[in-house]
Amino acid sequence: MRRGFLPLLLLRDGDAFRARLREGRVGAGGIAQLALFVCLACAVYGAALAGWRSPRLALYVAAKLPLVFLGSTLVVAGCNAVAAALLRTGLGLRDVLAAVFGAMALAGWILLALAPVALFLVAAACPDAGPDETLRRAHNAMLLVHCAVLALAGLAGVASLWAALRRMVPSARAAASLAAVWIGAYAFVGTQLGWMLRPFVGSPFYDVVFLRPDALDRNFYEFVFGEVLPFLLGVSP
Amino acid sequence: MPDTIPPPPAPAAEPAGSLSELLKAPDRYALGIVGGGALGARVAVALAAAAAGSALFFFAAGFFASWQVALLDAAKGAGIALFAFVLCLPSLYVFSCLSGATLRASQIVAAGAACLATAGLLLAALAPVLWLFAVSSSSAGFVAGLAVVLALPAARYALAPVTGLQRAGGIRTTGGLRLWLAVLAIVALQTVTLLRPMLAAPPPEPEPTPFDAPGSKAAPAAPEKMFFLEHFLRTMDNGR
Repeated sequence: MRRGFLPLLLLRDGDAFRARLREGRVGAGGIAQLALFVCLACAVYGAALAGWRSPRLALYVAAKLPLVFLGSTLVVAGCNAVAAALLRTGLGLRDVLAAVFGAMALAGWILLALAPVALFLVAAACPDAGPDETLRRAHNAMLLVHCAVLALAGLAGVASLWAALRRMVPSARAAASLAAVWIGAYAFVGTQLGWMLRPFVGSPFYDVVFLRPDALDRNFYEFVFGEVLPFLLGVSP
Repeated sequence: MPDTIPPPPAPAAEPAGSLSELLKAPDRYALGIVGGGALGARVAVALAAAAAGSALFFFAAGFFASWQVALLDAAKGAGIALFAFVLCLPSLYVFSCLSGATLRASQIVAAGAACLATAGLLLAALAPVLWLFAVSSSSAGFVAGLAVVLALPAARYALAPVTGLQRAGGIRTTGGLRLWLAVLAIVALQTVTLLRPMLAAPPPEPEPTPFDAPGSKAAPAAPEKMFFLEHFLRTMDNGR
């Protein structure tokens, strides 16, 4: 099984996985395995993420979280491949997808591992009814817990991506530039996709919906520069 | 006659896989795990020690209220240790692998159980101190704070088998398992909050109302859900 199932090989023997990456031995089947595993892990964690609000939202988020991860990867795949070519790393689109999905699969393992813990915290600590103040506190606490878990998974993914690129790209400088471009592009697109597909944790003060009615009205960065920054700086928008 | 002190006799080797070996020679205990001998027995003994140690610690704390509460707390304490361990098994496996573990799943479980057992033994050793303050204090906040302070060294020494495992070549780095222990501690603390009150008798069951069927009992109100930090702060506040 260790040889056959690539996500398991990645978890149990990261060096062997990276050796396969370097030798270009991760084919379309391997990439599909990694992508499917990422979808599964995100779906399980997504259900835990929204479970406190309602089973319906849990189902929605189980579908939406894989969409965010998978969608972001596919949207930036071309850009990543072009960046790899411009930096003369010798990596093709298949290498790019294999490396990125490998990093995401490692993050997926962390999400899968912590899903029971997150579910327990949701069930034990978050009231689903009560005064507004109690619900607001519960919602904010949930946000913090999930942000911590997702950040941890993200950091592990970045570390894994960096380790893979160091093996695949001969020049350390080119590897660092490529990692910066990939992570920057992924974060830029992923944030917007996440913004469009909200709600995820589910505010207790809004109805449960698959997408907010204003999902396409403005983007995340317009929100940050139009509302958040003026508020923080004390300037009226 | 030479004027030298004869070397002390070599200490008797602790039985392999025993709790004594875990405390005195965690490196050797870890080597035994890596060797893969009698893993089932190791896990059983370690989990029993962890449950017993945790039960004793909470038993001591419960004397703050009464011996009846102490008995109830002992059962809760054992349950907390075992429940937290079971809930954290998936993360134990994944985080061990991220630490570069070359071990089988059963060996990883044995390593996690060893960490929990070390903490349990430390808790058992510190239980008399907690008991002394529990029976002679009037502030629940003080007893709760003391329990947390006393649990800190237990958490610290729970790492001993992890470093032993690294020396024995079972894992490459300790970071993943350190993180796992932090997750385990959070789950255990949240379980304490879920099973509260720990330092008081449970609230009496409500009297049946005239609308209830004769002989029926009114359902007890479920405790308010809250995060362990909030619970701890509230306990400290009430104790003031």
